[in-house]
Amino acid sequence: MRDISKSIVAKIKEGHVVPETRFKLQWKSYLFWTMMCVMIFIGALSLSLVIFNFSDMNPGFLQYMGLQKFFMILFITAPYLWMALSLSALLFGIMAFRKTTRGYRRSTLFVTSLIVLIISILGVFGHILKIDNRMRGLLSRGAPNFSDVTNPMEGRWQRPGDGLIAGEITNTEPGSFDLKSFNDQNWKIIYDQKTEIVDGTQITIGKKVGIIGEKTEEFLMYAFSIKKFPDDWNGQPPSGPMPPPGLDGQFPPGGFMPLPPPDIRMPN
Amino acid sequence: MKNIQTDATDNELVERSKENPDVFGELVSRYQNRLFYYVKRISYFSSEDIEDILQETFMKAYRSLNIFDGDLKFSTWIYQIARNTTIDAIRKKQVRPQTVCFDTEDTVKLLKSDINIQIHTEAKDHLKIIQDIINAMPYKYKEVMVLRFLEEKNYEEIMDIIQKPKGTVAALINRGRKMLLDEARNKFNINELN
Repeated sequence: MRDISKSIVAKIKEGHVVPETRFKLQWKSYLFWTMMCVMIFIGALSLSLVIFNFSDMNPGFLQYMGLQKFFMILFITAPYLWMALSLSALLFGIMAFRKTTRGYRRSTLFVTSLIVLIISILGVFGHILKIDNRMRGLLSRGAPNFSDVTNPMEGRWQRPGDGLIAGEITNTEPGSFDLKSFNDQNWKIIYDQKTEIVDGTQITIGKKVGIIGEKTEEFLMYAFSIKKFPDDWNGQPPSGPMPPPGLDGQFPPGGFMPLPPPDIRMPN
Repeated sequence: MKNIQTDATDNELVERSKENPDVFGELVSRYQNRLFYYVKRISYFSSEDIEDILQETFMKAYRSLNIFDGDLKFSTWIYQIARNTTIDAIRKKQVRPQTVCFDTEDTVKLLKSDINIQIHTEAKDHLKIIQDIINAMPYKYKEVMVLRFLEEKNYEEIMDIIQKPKGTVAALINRGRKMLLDEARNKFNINELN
């Protein structure tokens, strides 16, 4: 072939061609790096909301629910929106990394593992720092009509037929308390020495709790287990008056209520 | 001045080219022939078309000198630009390369790493059949085999030129080689190839 070096040099000189700036040449790569970071952030936030929405369930409930019911409830009330968003962020994060200047050098397995690891670490930190809880609060206020989708945890605890009910304690009595559920139903909850109190949950007015038990009558439930919700749902301290003297609602570390007074009357 | 440029490394020439386009001419001289044969091997274009592709390749390279940071070898970088420019040209013509231009020497090179093909293909018509097999291979295999066995690039360089992970490059080369040997076995009805 003929020597083209002279014609190229001539072209450069005639056209006053100059090497372009690094930013102009690489802006796309910078854009994809930024996109990847944004995707990781979204993925981590979504993952922390996934963790938040599962944080109310623990394997200890298996003894009350049985394996089948436990997984059925988890399956029905899983936070699919946040799971889908988390996976989408992972997928788009991988794609964005691939489009960066040297993104082709790493295998898909490596890139996927790396992004999963970063999202997981940030997601867990987000949960520990309660960013997910604040996000949930924002979503509840901003889009209250979509709470079934954004926060399926609430729905999970409105299944009295399956032995799950939750809400705010409105009144306490020895051996029982009144509960206003999240869909504004008033329930009477009965508990006794056999009732397990998870993590020393306080039975105080204004406290939001979840009950695993058995629905014995309409709006009456016997509690097998009582647990508090993550940070009282919105990070606020419990409100309302203190329980009567001697029954401060604080269960001993063993998890069982002291013997109830002899005049306790069970509701009919 | 001429000698200084001839003795300088590619990276030194790149640095000087940013200030003085004449120096870039030396880089063009160094790579134009290699790139000509490379483009010829991966495309079906005429010499005139290839010359146009090379002009565009070197102009792109000159405009992009500021992102050449020594992370890649200059030869790898310029091959990468030439490859992308060639693929763009193929797309513009909206035709995948059907017949690439291998000569007899090329064909033997493609096979020599594994087998002594000359034993089995002494006659020229046999080499013609081999060329046909190579031409019939999917482009992605043909491309990496050209880079590995004709351009004699290592896996890292091929990875950077075709911008695919190293594992993908290795898999493409192995599959391409196997495909070539299997087809050769069928065509020549021989079992000695391995």
